[in-house]
Amino acid sequence: MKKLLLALFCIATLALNAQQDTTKKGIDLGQIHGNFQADFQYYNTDTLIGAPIVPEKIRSNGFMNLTYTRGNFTAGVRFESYLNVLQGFDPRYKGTGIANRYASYAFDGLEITAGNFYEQFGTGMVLRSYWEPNLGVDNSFDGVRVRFTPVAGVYTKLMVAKQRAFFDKGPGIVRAADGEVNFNELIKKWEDNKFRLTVGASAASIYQKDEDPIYILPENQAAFGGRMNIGYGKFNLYSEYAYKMNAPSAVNGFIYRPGQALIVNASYSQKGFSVLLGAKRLDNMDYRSDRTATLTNLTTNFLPALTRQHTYNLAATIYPYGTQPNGEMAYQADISYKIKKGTMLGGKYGTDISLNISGVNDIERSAAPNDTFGYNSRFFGVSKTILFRDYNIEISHKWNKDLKTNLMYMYFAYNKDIVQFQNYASSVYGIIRGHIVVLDVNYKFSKKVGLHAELQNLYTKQDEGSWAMGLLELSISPHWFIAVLDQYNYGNTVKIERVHYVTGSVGYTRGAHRFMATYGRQRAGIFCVGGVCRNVPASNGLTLSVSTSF
Amino acid sequence: MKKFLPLVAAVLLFAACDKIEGPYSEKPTGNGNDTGAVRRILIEDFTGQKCGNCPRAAETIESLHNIYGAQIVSYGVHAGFFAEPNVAGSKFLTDYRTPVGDELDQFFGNSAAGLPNGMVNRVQNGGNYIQSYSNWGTVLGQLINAAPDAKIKITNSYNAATRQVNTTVNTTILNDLSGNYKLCVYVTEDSIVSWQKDYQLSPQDIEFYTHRHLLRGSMNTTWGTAVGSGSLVAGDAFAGNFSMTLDAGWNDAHCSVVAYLYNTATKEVVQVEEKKITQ
Repeated sequence: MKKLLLALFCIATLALNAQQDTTKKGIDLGQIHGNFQADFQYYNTDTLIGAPIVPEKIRSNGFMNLTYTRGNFTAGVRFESYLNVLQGFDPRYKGTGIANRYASYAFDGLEITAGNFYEQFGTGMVLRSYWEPNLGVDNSFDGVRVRFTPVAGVYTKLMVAKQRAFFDKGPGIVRAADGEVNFNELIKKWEDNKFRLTVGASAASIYQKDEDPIYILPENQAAFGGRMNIGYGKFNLYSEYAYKMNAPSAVNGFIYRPGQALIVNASYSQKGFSVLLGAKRLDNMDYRSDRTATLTNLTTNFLPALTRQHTYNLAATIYPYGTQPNGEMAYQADISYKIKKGTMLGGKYGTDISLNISGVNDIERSAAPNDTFGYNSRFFGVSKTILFRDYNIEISHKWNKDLKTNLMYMYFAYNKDIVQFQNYASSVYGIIRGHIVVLDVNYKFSKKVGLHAELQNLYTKQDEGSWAMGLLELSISPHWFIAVLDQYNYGNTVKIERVHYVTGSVGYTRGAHRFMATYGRQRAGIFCVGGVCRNVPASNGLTLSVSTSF
Repeated sequence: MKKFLPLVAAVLLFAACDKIEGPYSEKPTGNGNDTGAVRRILIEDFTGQKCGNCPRAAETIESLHNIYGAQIVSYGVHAGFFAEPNVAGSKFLTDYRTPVGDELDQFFGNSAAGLPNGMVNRVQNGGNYIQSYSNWGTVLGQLINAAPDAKIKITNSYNAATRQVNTTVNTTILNDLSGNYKLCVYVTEDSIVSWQKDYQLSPQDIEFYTHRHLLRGSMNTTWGTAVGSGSLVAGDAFAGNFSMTLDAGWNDAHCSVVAYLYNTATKEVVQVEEKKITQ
């Protein structure tokens, strides 16, 4: 490790000199790029919202990525620091260190990588790793990877790696391969054909020693997937199927049943109009390189959501839906239409209307021959248990060159017991149903000064009751913005819990540098995955964020 | 040949899968031997009365006790959000958190990492002490057959009238140990019947749940008292006297003294012993 660090340091020094030298001598010694982010938070105690005492008072998360490239060669390193880790993140992110380092070389259709890398096969149902620092997720692979393109249109990948777990690696060894053929690239005559065809297949196997004194566990756990994309003109049909062999784990409750998943997405799009129809089945598809891992740790695959990812505060944060790896049957329809400009409804600039309907139910389950197998389930068997419903419509209109509005209405139904607590046995909260209305206004006072305002209301009689939210954001380009946001739980049946969660923030941007200060309250939350629940405590305090890229 | 590479790889990977057709459970192999000097392993189960998944961890401990018998010493530590008692209503009113448990939780980060979880002899797993309960058996299996490095003997004398317990702990070092060592002497109470949430049951709030072996407090603070000064040599013997007055609410017949010796740098437990107060 030390040698590697030294090597990277040498490369970095060389490259820094290189950048200066390049201009002088005209010799390419490569380039260094990177990005940096540091968040500091000062914590106040706040008994009203339950914000706990933080002994350190100030905590911070930070990272810096450095990438060196020269010709076909790329090397990179990421330093991470958690002193101590911000509340809401897993405390196993502790201290500082090199969390990611790699070198890669590409030539003659072959790309070789050693060290940490991110990879995805298809939609990721067999294998996907990614880094999301703001959520504390990094399941990068650490090992070797070969990507080979023998002829244009044929892509193959082969890899062996362990996965990152905080500042160490998980116990499982992941062996995986993927092949994809794009016939429109492979066959010259098809290059500009209306008919498009791509076919892919992937396989993975995880080795983890069985030393468990209670169960006899499979030490090699395999998963396979096949995918196909067919297009004709404006139509597109994507389908992917994945199968996981027996892999008892903490998340599935140590059952030996194999897992299956199917996703089908059909779409049609033309100027001003598009339709997307999707359907999905997931059955016992959690796949990790440690059978005892829970929450977001050491996931080897990724199960895509088939529900709209909302960005409006109340729709995104109060009842957010997360894919249920143990089982779901889902559908989604998404239609967008633009009313032409110059018409009565379209006005001078046109009006955009989008309708999105999605629904998720649990899969049907019936008793298996024995408990350890888990359950039986017909492939198209849908349970009556609703997990989630989201019917929303959005109308966006530009009134004149200074004023733009967006109106959203949403009906939702949310199974809090299963989605948040993975509690399949009893109904405590029931299905929470409600409505959300959002009005979003953007107004330009001048070329430099703009105002963004949002008014949101979530109406429900269940759980914590109704919420209102208001946002005012003033931007003075090119450098400044000031914002005030209030989330107000006005409908809470417990009067003392009708709390205002107010935050104010000021931001300054200069080129790639971004500074932001936020002061206020944040709500508590609970999330559970794989039989483990984590409480993200409420907080009250000042956050400073600095980020830049170069 | 190059074109067949992915196909060959796929076939190889297909071969790399073990299908278990049953039986699915191991036969118990533990000898349950608790005579003489054996290595005993400490399992600390971080839990909460309102943690609906935590009964699964308690069941895991029971399964491991069935296999390894008295070679395992365990206690539950109620800590964090899911251990907070309710302030109103009729359920979850008792607070099972302790200053000792809170200090351990703060140091090791258990409740913030999501419950249930715990530690097995405080051995580290990739720089972290926290182990998922489904991993306890595996870690235990790696430790339990090693020869013991120390022997701990607990002698209790209990006055039922004053509820004072006086404890003598004799520690004998069996193998040379480098580093600094401390001894902790905790008190636990078994079979407390009280509320517990369980997501696998309906209704999920269980009024008469039996909480096994809960940590109640320490006779010599959270981090204990030093044993010797610096490295220990085989044959070294130490004796220490400790005492505590039991809380009026604790059932003395169910209380035990748990004493463990640990390395102050790694925090790893060398040996643990348990003895009932009224025995």
